[in-house]
Amino acid sequence: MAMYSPHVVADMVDANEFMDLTRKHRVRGVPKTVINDGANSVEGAVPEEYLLNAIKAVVQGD
Amino acid sequence: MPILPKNVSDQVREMFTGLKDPVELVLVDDGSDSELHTLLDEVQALSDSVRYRRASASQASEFGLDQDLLPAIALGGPHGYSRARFVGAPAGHEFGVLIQDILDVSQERIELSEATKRYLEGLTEDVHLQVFTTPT
Repeated sequence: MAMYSPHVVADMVDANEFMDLTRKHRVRGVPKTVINDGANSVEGAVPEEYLLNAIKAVVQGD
Repeated sequence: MPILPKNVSDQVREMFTGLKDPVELVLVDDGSDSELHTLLDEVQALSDSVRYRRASASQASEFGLDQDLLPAIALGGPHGYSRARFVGAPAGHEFGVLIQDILDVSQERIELSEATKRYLEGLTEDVHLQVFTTPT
Protein backbone atom coordinates (compact mmCIF):
# COMPACT_ATOMS: atom_id res chain seq x y z
CA MET A 1 0.00 0.00 0.00
CA ALA A 2 2.86 2.35 0.84
CA MET A 3 4.36 1.64 -2.57
CA TYR A 4 1.06 2.49 -4.26
CA SER A 5 -0.20 5.59 -2.44
CA PRO A 6 1.82 8.72 -1.63
CA HIS A 7 -0.38 9.07 1.48
CA VAL A 8 0.65 5.76 3.01
CA VAL A 9 3.84 5.11 4.98
CA ALA A 10 4.54 1.62 6.32
CA ASP A 11 7.19 0.70 8.87
CA MET A 12 8.11 -2.88 9.64
CA VAL A 13 9.06 -2.59 13.30
CA ASP A 14 11.17 -5.13 15.18
CA ALA A 15 9.05 -5.41 18.34
CA ASN A 16 11.92 -6.73 20.47
CA GLU A 17 14.16 -3.80 19.68
CA PHE A 18 11.71 -0.99 20.49
CA MET A 19 10.10 -2.07 23.74
CA ASP A 20 8.71 1.37 24.62
CA LEU A 21 6.79 1.51 21.38
CA THR A 22 5.73 -2.11 21.74
CA ARG A 23 4.39 -1.40 25.23
CA LYS A 24 2.69 1.81 24.15
CA HIS A 25 0.72 -0.05 21.49
CA ARG A 26 0.13 -3.09 23.74
CA VAL A 27 1.65 -5.52 21.29
CA ARG A 28 1.07 -8.99 22.76
CA GLY A 29 1.12 -11.04 19.60
CA VAL A 30 2.74 -10.51 16.24
CA PRO A 31 2.25 -9.42 13.61
CA LYS A 32 0.26 -6.46 14.86
CA THR A 33 -0.44 -3.53 12.60
CA VAL A 34 -0.99 -0.18 14.30
CA ILE A 35 -2.72 2.50 12.26
CA ASN A 36 -2.03 6.21 12.81
CA ASP A 37 -0.30 5.88 16.17
CA GLY A 38 -3.02 3.74 17.72
CA ALA A 39 -6.22 5.14 16.16
CA ASN A 40 -6.91 1.55 15.18
CA SER A 41 -5.02 -1.72 15.03
CA VAL A 42 -5.20 -5.19 13.56
CA GLU A 43 -3.77 -8.34 15.07
CA GLY A 44 -2.50 -11.25 13.05
CA ALA A 45 -1.58 -11.74 9.41
CA VAL A 46 -4.98 -10.68 8.10
CA PRO A 47 -6.26 -10.57 4.53
CA GLU A 48 -5.71 -7.32 2.64
CA GLU A 49 -9.43 -6.49 2.71
CA TYR A 50 -9.50 -6.73 6.50
CA LEU A 51 -6.61 -4.29 6.85
CA LEU A 52 -8.23 -1.96 4.33
CA ASN A 53 -11.44 -1.90 6.41
CA ALA A 54 -9.41 -1.06 9.51
CA ILE A 55 -7.85 1.86 7.62
CA LYS A 56 -11.25 2.99 6.36
CA ALA A 57 -12.54 3.09 9.94
CA VAL A 58 -9.81 5.62 10.76
CA VAL A 59 -10.08 7.86 7.71
CA GLN A 60 -13.85 7.60 7.31
CA GLY A 61 -14.20 11.32 7.91
CA ASP A 62 -12.48 11.75 4.54
CA MET B 1 32.08 -15.65 9.18
CA PRO B 2 29.28 -14.39 6.97
CA ILE B 3 25.88 -13.85 8.58
CA LEU B 4 23.93 -15.33 5.71
CA PRO B 5 24.19 -19.10 5.38
CA LYS B 6 25.37 -20.16 1.92
CA ASN B 7 22.04 -21.73 0.93
CA VAL B 8 20.24 -18.48 1.77
CA SER B 9 22.69 -16.25 -0.11
CA ASP B 10 22.50 -18.61 -3.11
CA GLN B 11 18.72 -18.39 -3.06
CA VAL B 12 18.70 -14.59 -2.77
CA ARG B 13 21.30 -14.27 -5.56
CA GLU B 14 18.98 -16.32 -7.75
CA MET B 15 15.96 -14.15 -6.82
CA PHE B 16 17.97 -11.00 -7.56
CA THR B 17 18.43 -12.10 -11.17
CA GLY B 18 14.86 -10.81 -11.55
CA LEU B 19 15.84 -7.26 -10.56
CA LYS B 20 14.99 -4.56 -13.07
CA ASP B 21 15.93 -1.08 -11.83
CA PRO B 22 18.77 -0.63 -9.32
CA VAL B 23 17.81 -0.47 -5.65
CA GLU B 24 19.68 1.41 -2.98
CA LEU B 25 19.65 0.22 0.64
CA VAL B 26 20.33 2.97 3.16
CA LEU B 27 21.05 2.06 6.76
CA VAL B 28 20.32 5.02 9.01
CA ASP B 29 22.09 4.51 12.33
CA ASP B 30 24.91 5.67 14.58
CA GLY B 31 27.57 4.19 12.32
CA SER B 32 28.87 1.63 14.81
CA ASP B 33 29.77 -1.91 13.90
CA SER B 34 26.64 -3.98 13.82
CA GLU B 35 25.28 -7.24 12.47
CA LEU B 36 22.78 -5.23 10.47
CA HIS B 37 25.58 -3.39 8.68
CA THR B 38 27.29 -6.69 7.90
CA LEU B 39 24.01 -8.23 6.73
CA LEU B 40 23.22 -5.40 4.30
CA ASP B 41 26.78 -5.44 3.03
CA GLU B 42 26.35 -9.15 2.29
CA VAL B 43 23.02 -8.53 0.55
CA GLN B 44 24.60 -5.84 -1.63
CA ALA B 45 27.26 -8.31 -2.74
CA LEU B 46 24.59 -10.62 -4.20
CA SER B 47 23.70 -8.36 -7.12
CA ASP B 48 25.20 -5.49 -9.10
CA SER B 49 21.73 -3.92 -9.01
CA VAL B 50 21.76 -3.55 -5.23
CA ARG B 51 23.80 -0.79 -3.62
CA TYR B 52 24.24 -0.19 0.05
CA ARG B 53 25.27 2.90 1.96
CA ARG B 54 24.97 4.32 5.44
CA ALA B 55 23.48 7.59 6.60
CA SER B 56 23.93 9.18 10.00
CA ALA B 57 21.19 9.43 12.60
CA SER B 58 21.02 13.19 12.03
CA GLN B 59 19.92 12.50 8.44
CA ALA B 60 16.91 10.39 9.55
CA SER B 61 14.37 13.05 8.60
CA GLU B 62 15.63 13.06 5.01
CA PHE B 63 14.15 9.59 4.76
CA GLY B 64 11.02 10.47 6.73
CA LEU B 65 12.36 8.44 9.65
CA ASP B 66 12.11 9.11 13.36
CA GLN B 67 15.50 9.79 14.92
CA ASP B 68 14.37 7.97 18.08
CA LEU B 69 13.57 4.79 16.16
CA LEU B 70 16.90 3.72 14.73
CA PRO B 71 18.52 1.74 13.20
CA ALA B 72 16.20 1.83 10.21
CA ILE B 73 16.51 0.85 6.56
CA ALA B 74 15.20 2.92 3.66
CA LEU B 75 14.91 1.52 0.13
CA GLY B 76 15.65 3.78 -2.81
CA GLY B 77 14.22 2.91 -6.21
CA PRO B 78 13.56 4.52 -9.59
CA HIS B 79 11.10 6.99 -8.04
CA GLY B 80 13.01 7.98 -4.94
CA TYR B 81 12.82 6.46 -1.48
CA SER B 82 10.08 3.96 -0.78
CA ARG B 83 7.51 4.74 1.89
CA ALA B 84 7.90 1.16 3.10
CA ARG B 85 10.75 1.06 5.60
CA PHE B 86 12.27 -1.27 8.17
CA VAL B 87 12.68 -0.09 11.74
CA GLY B 88 15.13 -2.32 13.56
CA ALA B 89 16.79 -5.38 12.13
CA PRO B 90 14.85 -7.49 9.60
CA ALA B 91 15.71 -10.82 11.19
CA GLY B 92 14.10 -14.21 10.70
CA HIS B 93 10.95 -14.06 8.57
CA GLU B 94 11.45 -10.30 8.08
CA PHE B 95 14.63 -10.91 6.11
CA GLY B 96 12.45 -12.55 3.45
CA VAL B 97 10.16 -9.51 3.53
CA LEU B 98 13.17 -7.24 2.96
CA ILE B 99 14.24 -9.28 -0.07
CA GLN B 100 10.67 -9.20 -1.44
CA ASP B 101 10.51 -5.44 -0.92
CA ILE B 102 13.78 -4.98 -2.80
CA LEU B 103 12.26 -6.93 -5.71
CA ASP B 104 8.98 -4.97 -5.49
CA VAL B 105 10.78 -1.61 -5.56
CA SER B 106 13.01 -2.69 -8.44
CA GLN B 107 10.20 -4.12 -10.53
CA GLU B 108 7.59 -1.56 -9.41
CA ARG B 109 5.47 -4.56 -8.54
CA ILE B 110 2.17 -3.92 -6.77
CA GLU B 111 0.20 -6.91 -5.53
CA LEU B 112 -3.04 -5.30 -4.43
CA SER B 113 -6.62 -6.04 -5.37
CA GLU B 114 -8.37 -3.61 -7.72
CA ALA B 115 -10.70 -2.60 -4.87
CA THR B 116 -7.74 -1.67 -2.66
CA LYS B 117 -6.09 0.28 -5.48
CA ARG B 118 -9.31 2.22 -6.12
CA TYR B 119 -9.61 3.12 -2.45
CA LEU B 120 -5.97 4.21 -2.21
CA GLU B 121 -6.30 6.37 -5.32
CA GLY B 122 -9.08 8.33 -3.59
CA LEU B 123 -7.19 8.63 -0.30
CA THR B 124 -6.48 12.22 0.73
CA GLU B 125 -5.44 11.70 4.37
CA ASP B 126 -2.08 10.41 5.52
CA VAL B 127 -2.02 6.86 6.87
CA HIS B 128 0.88 5.57 8.95
CA LEU B 129 1.08 1.80 9.36
CA GLN B 130 3.44 0.25 11.90
CA VAL B 131 3.70 -3.50 11.55
CA PHE B 132 5.17 -5.04 14.70
CA THR B 133 6.98 -8.30 14.21
CA THR B 134 9.49 -10.48 16.01
CA PRO B 135 12.30 -12.55 14.51
CA THR B 136 10.91 -16.06 14.73
